[in-house]
Amino acid sequence: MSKKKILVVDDEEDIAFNVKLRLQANNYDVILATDGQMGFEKAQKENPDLMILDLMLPKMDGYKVCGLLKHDSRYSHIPIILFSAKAQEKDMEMGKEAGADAYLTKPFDAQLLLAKVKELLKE
Amino acid sequence: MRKKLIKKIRRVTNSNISGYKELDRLKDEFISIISHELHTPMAVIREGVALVVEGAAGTINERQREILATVKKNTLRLSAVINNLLDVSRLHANKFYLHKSEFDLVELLKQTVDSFKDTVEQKKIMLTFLPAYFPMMVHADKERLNRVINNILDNAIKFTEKGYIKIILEKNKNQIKCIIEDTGIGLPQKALTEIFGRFRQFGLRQKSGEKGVGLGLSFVKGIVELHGGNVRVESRQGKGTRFIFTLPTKS
Repeated sequence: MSKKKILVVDDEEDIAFNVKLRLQANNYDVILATDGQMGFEKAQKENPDLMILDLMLPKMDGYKVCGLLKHDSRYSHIPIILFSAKAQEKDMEMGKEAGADAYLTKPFDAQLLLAKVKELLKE
Repeated sequence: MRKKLIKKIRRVTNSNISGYKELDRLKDEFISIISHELHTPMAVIREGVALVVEGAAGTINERQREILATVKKNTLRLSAVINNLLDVSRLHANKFYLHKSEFDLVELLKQTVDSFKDTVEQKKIMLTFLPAYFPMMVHADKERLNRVINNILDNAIKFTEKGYIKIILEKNKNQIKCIIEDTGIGLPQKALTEIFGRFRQFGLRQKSGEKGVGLGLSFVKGIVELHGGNVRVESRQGKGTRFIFTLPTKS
């Protein structure tokens, strides 16, 4: 079976690097994007199996990226985990409205993140 | 003449009061920015160490593992300080959200007491919790309440050189009362009214490396009150200290 491909969109390079290492250690292929626009484009081009999406991003924020993808029938099947330091209930509400499949808060708990990834990939 | 003076005093005091308020607000903003700026790098360091320890970057030898274990221990210690700092600044700015769920307080206390087992054994003091035989359900923020109990117990252990620390849970119709009693050095009279303020240390005798930043009990008061309970302290110098906090029972 080929490796599942995960797109990580985060403008904080060190966090993205850690997430990438963690996912690679668990046998996933990882693509990175460092702003919302790039994330949106890579999602369309690479057709990943799952996306991990930061909220506060340059150029286009995470809600917008999520909303655009979830309202496009070509990409709406891609599970999206929103990933942010904002931990208030209204942020989670907004995330749900944008169609996100899960919401995790930073600083991230590696085990929690992996568990969510597995769950959404139905592994 | 007199009227003029009164006016002037009033003006000066008013401007002072707003000045203090502004200062207080700036201080809160400062704490919040600093702790956010600390949060992210801390998380990156912690996760980096974890990845290496778990072998994600290849096998490491025993010596390397030992060194990384001390790095890990100290990042956890720093993280705890940062979390307390963040929470206290949020509490103070009324930007705090509880994540409530229903759980058994007896179970939580058992776990917390268990986590202090090694520490009290090393200090040769007794830590006892005689739980009730029935569960005491509360609707509360479990993680924050765990830290409340941790903070009180941590202090009790820090300031008790001989004797015991005893935890008692009582329940009546409307509330659950938790009493944490120690036979430690006790608190000076002056400290009793101020101990729940921020950054209070009272120059109590402590071993080096056990200093802390004086936010623990401020956190305790904030969290307990957000749950609709209250907290107070009784103490006699040289005899010991008793912390009592209440929580409403699940309604």
